[in-house]
Amino acid sequence: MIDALAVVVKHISQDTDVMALCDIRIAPRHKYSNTTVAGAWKTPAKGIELQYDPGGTPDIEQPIQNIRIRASCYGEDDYQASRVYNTLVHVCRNANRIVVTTSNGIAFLYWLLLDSSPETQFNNDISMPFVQVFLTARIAEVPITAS
Amino acid sequence: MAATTPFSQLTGVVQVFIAPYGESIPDVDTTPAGNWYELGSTDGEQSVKFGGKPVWFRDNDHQGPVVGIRPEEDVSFKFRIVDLTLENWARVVSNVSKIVTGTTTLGANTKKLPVKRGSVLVEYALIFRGSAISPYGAYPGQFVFPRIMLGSEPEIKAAKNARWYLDVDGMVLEDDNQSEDDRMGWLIVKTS
Repeated sequence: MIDALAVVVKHISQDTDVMALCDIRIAPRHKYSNTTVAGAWKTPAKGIELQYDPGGTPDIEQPIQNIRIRASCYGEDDYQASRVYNTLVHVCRNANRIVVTTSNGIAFLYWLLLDSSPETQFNNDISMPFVQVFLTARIAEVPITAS
Repeated sequence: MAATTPFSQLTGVVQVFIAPYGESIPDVDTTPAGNWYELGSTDGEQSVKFGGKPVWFRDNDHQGPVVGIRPEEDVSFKFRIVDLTLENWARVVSNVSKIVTGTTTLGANTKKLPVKRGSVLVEYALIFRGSAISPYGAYPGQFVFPRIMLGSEPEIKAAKNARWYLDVDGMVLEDDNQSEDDRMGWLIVKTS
């Protein structure tokens, strides 16, 4: 079965505008840390955390995942966090019936859309601001077979 | 749970293209160009309705109906446009040829669109095109209506916190220049 959140993470992380700002720092949980742990994201730096959020309506008939996602767009300051958020808006404007290759198979993303207006917040643990916005997406549970 | 493939569950919006009646129909894998004009942006849903209520005939020998026929058939469509250039507006309520450019006495350039629409409706061809509405892959598809007329009676609502829009609706007409099956349009999708 396709991992719906992995599809969204992969799709967003493939966007060239997002990559230009965030490099590889797009994940289901941020890895900001100033330790020397392998893979840690040094602060401050731009990045996006994408997590499941309740609020989607499950499809109880068809093998479809309707999910709602909480996206936290981190930046060195409020302005930079907003720049990251703006790239996410751009991704959502163009996400219509897209094939996304994940480690669980070739997935089909029907849509990825904004589901709220943005909210500026601050993460005291890592001393970085972020812009939070909610997204909604529909993803097929079954992988696409090569045709 | 019925067997399904991800592609065959169709989602997504379509772009609306309009052209003078008789314009050649572009291939499904080609974005309409030339005299094809994108009538948009649209807001909300775009819909196509296949009307034609059957009449069920009965006889004295049977309890239930014995045959049905469809004496009349309609294909209608509607959508809402929010890009209100006079060029868009003219295609909906009048005719693009009615736009008159001018200059004010102070030297500003103007465009004028008559409000009176007249009794004759303009013949158009219409395409509803989706970039990925094929049930066989992430491919384009399109509804083609070779002969239509717009029957809109739009109402402008000006408000502080709302966008102006024109509701557009119309009827597909028989096009005797098409083959028998295609006279009221067709749906074509790319499969490979």
